[in-house]
Amino acid sequence: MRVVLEDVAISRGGFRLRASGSFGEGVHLVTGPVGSGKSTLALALAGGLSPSSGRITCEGIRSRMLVLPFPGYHVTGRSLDEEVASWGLSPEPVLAAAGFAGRGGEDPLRCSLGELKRLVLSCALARETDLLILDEPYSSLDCGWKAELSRRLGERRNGITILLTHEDEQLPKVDEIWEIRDGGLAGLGRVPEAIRLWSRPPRYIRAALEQGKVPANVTPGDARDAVCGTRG
Amino acid sequence: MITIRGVAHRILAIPDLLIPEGRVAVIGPNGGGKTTLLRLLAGIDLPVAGEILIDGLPPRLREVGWVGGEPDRDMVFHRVSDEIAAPLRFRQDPSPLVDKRVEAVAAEIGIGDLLGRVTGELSTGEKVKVALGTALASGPAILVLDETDSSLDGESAGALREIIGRASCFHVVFATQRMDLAARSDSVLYLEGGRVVHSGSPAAVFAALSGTPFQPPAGWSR
Amino acid sequence: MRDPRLILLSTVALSAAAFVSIPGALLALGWWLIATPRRLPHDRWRPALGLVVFPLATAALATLSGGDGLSYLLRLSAILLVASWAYSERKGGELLDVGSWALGNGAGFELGLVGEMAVQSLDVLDRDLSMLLLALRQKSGRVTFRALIPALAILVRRELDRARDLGDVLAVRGYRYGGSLCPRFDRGPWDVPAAVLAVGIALAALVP
Repeated sequence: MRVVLEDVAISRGGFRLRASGSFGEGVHLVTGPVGSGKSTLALALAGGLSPSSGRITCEGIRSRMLVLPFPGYHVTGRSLDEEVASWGLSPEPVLAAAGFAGRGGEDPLRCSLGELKRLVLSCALARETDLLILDEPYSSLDCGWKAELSRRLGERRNGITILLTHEDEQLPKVDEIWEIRDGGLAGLGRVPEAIRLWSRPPRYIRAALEQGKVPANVTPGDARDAVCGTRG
Repeated sequence: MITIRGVAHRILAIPDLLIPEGRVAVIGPNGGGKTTLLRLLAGIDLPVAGEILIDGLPPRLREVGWVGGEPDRDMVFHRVSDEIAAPLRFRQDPSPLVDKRVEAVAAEIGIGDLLGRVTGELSTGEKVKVALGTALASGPAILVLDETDSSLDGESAGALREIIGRASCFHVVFATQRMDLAARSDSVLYLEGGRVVHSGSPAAVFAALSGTPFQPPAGWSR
Repeated sequence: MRDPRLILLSTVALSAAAFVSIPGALLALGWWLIATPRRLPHDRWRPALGLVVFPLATAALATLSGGDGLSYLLRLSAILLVASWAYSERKGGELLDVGSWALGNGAGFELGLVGEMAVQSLDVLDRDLSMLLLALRQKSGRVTFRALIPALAILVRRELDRARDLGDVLAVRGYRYGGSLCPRFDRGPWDVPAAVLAVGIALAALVP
């Protein structure tokens, strides 16, 4: 199961991104500064944007899901119960896990942006999808739920998960790191070797690297363990 | 000084609160009332009960700079320069002064190269910076930012922090989920369930919140 | 052509000429051939389809109902061609500039502001719709009519919310009425001759 990009060039409104590489099973972290093209890449991987050159091939992938930064696009139900059901899921357990226990009758549009995001992410993660693409999933979430999202992402065993984000405080455990720099996608390879090659790592990882310690993965706990010499 | 007395509005209930001049970070879980409070401080909404005074005057009589939760949907004009110039044009400032001020503000935020662009073509982060420029254009007494940093990466958030620090506004009230930004502010408000549960210096508030996810990142020091 | 005022003038003049008679339409087509870069929308299928399907459909209808289909086809094609040229020359901000120049910093600015907001809203709606359809397709497999209705209802509500938010934004930016703006217009070397020619064509077609 993998997604292959062959000499892909994607243009969107005067902006160009080159990408080549293959995303296999596991959790991939794609980082890059604001405006570097993460959303454009996410859209292309989900099949919502055709590359202007090159090819994107999905091998062995039966289902694709892109979670957009703005959760409202995904919401079609008139109540939270209806919304979860529209994803083909059973409302009660999903709502309980998302922190909405007992609020099934509420109107989704009355929820705050952060709450909607939590709901959509819970539904997307609860559904079995071969290729799950998350475009800035951490935006709008509060600290507690950022940590919870990272925990759930770390638990994903099947399929390809591609996480495109500029989040730098609460990252999950990942398998591979990719970086967008100078208008191109660069695959840094598998963790932990990839961490050494990361040109703009989060502050807490940079602090560990400066002390000559390479964390085993990219969570804050891994950086702490590397520096303190403890094991998670 | 911002005084809040007997305010009740939607989920918010704040009996008595004084916020000194400077940079105030508003933190707390989603749905806790941060946006509601910020909209009241900006004068966008009027509280159902109670009063809010910014240095003795209600917010609607003050010059306010506001950047909402989805700034990329709040763009009114096509040209970036028109967007930033809007507050100045609305109050009928003479054109040559408007142009000079727009260039100065853009330079301060580092978006001088975006002035000739069209807002529809900008990335989300660039739009956020333009929205910030618009908010600062009129030299407001209070700057209110609703999770503006969530669309910005670490570097840009650091730049935002510096802009906030240099802004000549007496009051900067910003809601944020970045605890490193909150740690560097002058005071912190923690809102949960519509109530100000903790308020005070960052050190005091974070100490009261120890054990919760609302903590400054490890290794941080002032 | 770069001056938006002359673009507007030429568009109105040529549209009038093309509407009124076949010779007017032919002259307008001739003007399009010599005075514009002759760019047809090739990358976006919707406008291209509109330029071809719409005139053909109305011409067919006209012929079927006993009118002169060919005349309709020719005149409508000329009008649409000129309109697509005017649309492709948009750079952003013209409505504000032309409004303020024509009617001053009060009513003129207001007109321009409303125009800009309307066009922005169309762009936002376009983007929202494509994202909504993408999300819906992913969630439900095919986009069925049943699934589309609540989604469209949510889209309409989102746009209404945006309109209300824009009201808040304008208020907080100190908007009351109008705005001070000294519009600056760029003008290409062939702008005036082309515009004069367009007005000439209109006069020739309209004045018997």
